[in-house]
Amino acid sequence: MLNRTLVALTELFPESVPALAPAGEGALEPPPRETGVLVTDFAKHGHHLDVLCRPDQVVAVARIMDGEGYFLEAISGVDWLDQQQFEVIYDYNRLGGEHCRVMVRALVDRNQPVVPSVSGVFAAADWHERETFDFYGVHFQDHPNLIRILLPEDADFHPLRKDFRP
Amino acid sequence: MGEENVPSSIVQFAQLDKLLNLGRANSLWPMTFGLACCAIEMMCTGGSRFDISRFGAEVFRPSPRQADVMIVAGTINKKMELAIKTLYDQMPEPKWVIAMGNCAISGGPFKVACNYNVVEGADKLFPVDVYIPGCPPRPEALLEGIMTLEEKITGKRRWPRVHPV
Repeated sequence: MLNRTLVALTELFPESVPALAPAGEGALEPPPRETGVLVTDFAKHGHHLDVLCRPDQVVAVARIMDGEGYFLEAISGVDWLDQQQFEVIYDYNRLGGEHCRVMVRALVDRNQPVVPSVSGVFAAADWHERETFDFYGVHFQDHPNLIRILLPEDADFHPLRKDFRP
Repeated sequence: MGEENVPSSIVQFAQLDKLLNLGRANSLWPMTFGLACCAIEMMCTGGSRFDISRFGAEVFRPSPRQADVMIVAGTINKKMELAIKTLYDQMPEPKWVIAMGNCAISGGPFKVACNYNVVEGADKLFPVDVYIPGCPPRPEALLEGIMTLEEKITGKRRWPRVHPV
């Protein structure tokens, strides 16, 4: 299963080869990743595969995962203030059969965070993307109803940004 | 204006009030208002081990129109603020409010400098009669809160206060 998913995903990234994640907790910063698929140690990271993709590849990745029988667990965000980027993280999981968890990351520019919505592929993405929009301000294109979900509708701030002060 | 001489009324209502208060205190019907974790403790209190039914309060009414006491169990977010205020206004008199748990008392663990979404206490919205501290308070603490409310209504306490030895 892992290998099947690996092969299917690697098709999307023809230029890179799936590498093994660096095993040690070195003091050095690991080199910045190229887009591609990484095989990770499940016991250490909690997921079997780690995929870094461009924002416009997110829907294609979601279609591959759907075809391989995964379901979407969660969509969340990370604010990298120094690099001026938002990272949108998609967690895919697969039960019944071989267990496999895949984490997909997409980095977007912080000043213009626009990502295509995967709610056309996974209906569960609807509310998760609303939450990511609510707390980070990441705009999802072609989302059926991108309004705030947890904060009051008229709130004008995005609280989980690193530069937010209430 | 001058002084008015108000004659004492022929029908004295004090004993009737006392009887009514006794009735109200011993059958406080709470409104199901579990918002967060304290709701689990409230549900436990309604179960058989801690049994809120001994106090006449097992009838949790879903509608505010039929409830006497609103047990605010849980964190009040700004999005929920309007709904809570509306429900409180819809309860008919006489009504009481029990603030259960630290979040309902003062915002609890969320009362920090960078709080952006939590209303810091139910008493910012309406008057509260009994405060039950705890995060979450044990079911016994909720029962003690109900007994304190009964004491507030009738003036007498159902069971004597137990002091630790």
